[in-house]
Amino acid sequence: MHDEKPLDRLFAGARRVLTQCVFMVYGVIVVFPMVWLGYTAFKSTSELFASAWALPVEWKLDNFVEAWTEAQIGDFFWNSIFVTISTLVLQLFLGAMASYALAKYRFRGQNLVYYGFLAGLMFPIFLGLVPLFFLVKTLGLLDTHLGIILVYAAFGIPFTVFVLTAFFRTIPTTIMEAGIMDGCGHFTLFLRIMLPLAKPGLTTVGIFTFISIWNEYILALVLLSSSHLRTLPLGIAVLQFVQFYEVDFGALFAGLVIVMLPTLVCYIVLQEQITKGITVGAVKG
Amino acid sequence: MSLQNNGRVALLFVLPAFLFYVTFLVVPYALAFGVSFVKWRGVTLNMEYTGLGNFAKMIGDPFFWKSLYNTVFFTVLTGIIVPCMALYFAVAVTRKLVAGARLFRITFFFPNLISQVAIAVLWWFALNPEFGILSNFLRLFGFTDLPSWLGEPGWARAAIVAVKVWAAVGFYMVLYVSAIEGIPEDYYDACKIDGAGEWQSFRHVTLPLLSEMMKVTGVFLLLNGFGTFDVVRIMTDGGPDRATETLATYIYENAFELGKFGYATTIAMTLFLITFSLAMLSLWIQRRDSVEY
Repeated sequence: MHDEKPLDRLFAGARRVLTQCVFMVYGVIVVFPMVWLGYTAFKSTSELFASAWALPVEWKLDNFVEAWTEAQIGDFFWNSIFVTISTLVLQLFLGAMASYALAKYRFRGQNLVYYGFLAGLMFPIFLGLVPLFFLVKTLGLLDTHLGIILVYAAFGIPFTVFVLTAFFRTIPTTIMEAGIMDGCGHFTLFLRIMLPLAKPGLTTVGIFTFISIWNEYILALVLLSSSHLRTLPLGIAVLQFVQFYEVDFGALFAGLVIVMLPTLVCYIVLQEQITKGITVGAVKG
Repeated sequence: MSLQNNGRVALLFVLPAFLFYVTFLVVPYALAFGVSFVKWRGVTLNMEYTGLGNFAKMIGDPFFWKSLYNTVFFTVLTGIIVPCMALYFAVAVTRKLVAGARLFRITFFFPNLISQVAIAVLWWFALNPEFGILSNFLRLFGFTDLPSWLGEPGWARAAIVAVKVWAAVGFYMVLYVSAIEGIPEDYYDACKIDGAGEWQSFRHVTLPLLSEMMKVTGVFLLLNGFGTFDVVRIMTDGGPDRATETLATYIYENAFELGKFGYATTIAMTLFLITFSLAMLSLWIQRRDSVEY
């Protein structure tokens, strides 16, 4: 090992301290706004204007109650739950079926279909937005939950196919043959044997779909207009627009907490899986 | 293997997803190409073919140029700041240059889990000149004459960039971390034996071997920058005086607020062509310069 000069060691030490400081400062910049939001949601608007930093004098749930009932956040929450879950089920099921066939069968036009799906990952949403709006309108699905669920599921299919095709390829074909030997039909084989084996892949896609649909804004903005159908991000965006003039922020703060919590909790519980999944998604190149 | 050659069964499996995909993605995108050549206002399907008329109108539209300029401004700045910060953080946590690396890895990713809407509203609050975090923080140091951050063109733009960076760094950090963790430890050991410091091993091992990941993230950053919508729409709605208007917000305004559907799609088509050619160009340049190992 080589000798280190004292000056070098001093320099390395200083760099270490500096790096640690940078991390801590950025950590505060990331976490503090959320923490501030979290406790401010318990304060009244007048309390907020009086002392912006202070913890609430009394931890009152008034804002949450008001948000949930009067500001319709409760409705938006259930709408988001319904839309997210329906999208998840539809997208995963259709996507898994297609991926299974693409990975395990051979048919004419197979590559064309596969790369056709993948091309969907490349197109920016804004290009198709206007025609999509009129398409959904023509189908009579504008301003319905069904319409937005179908669109969400269709937009999620490329990513689903990309991840799950790779996943199904790793499952040995001998398992399929054994299933057929036992007298399974093709569909039973898929449903009873292959789908359960693909659970890790389904989980990865599921987590990502959950996070992205739960947070989605632009499609909801274009495809939903009735206030009772709004999802959480759309509802909060509208609420912000209204509060801008009314200066009553309590409900909005509480609404923000309600939209943020589910994905944050999901992450804290499934942290390893999400981190791994991101890498899978990025390597598509 | 007759089992896997059963094309009819395979088609039955693929068909539902494929029909969905074609209906809601392929058809709209294909239509977009046609719609950009028509004048189309209002709610009916009455369109009037104008050839390149929409494009000519766009060239003469100062707001288009302003939103293009702003979009490029946001893309370039986030495209430089985000990877630099993310790379710095990724190297520090993987090379164990910082204590509590695991905790930082988790917390820095938080903003990526939150809806862009929530991020925008959160920062809209945090930048409020009266009760916001930033103003109150600066008041602690005796600053009194503070601007309305989102009300002045220069500050508003800076704020959009800052919020976009805040929202994105964690995601890119995770990507770089996973790429760095894929580099064999031997390379770093070899560096150490040669007496190289942390900087040299970064310069000669980490950076060249990250070229694949840089390529991927470069395209992501490009798409993300040119698609800037949510944060702008909520924090400033393109203002003040269109200082933060982006192509995406301008497209939305034209289509869904002014009912100029044809014109909006023309701008969308331009946006797509710009991003697509830039993405191809950057992939090509990086392929040409990429390192084999």
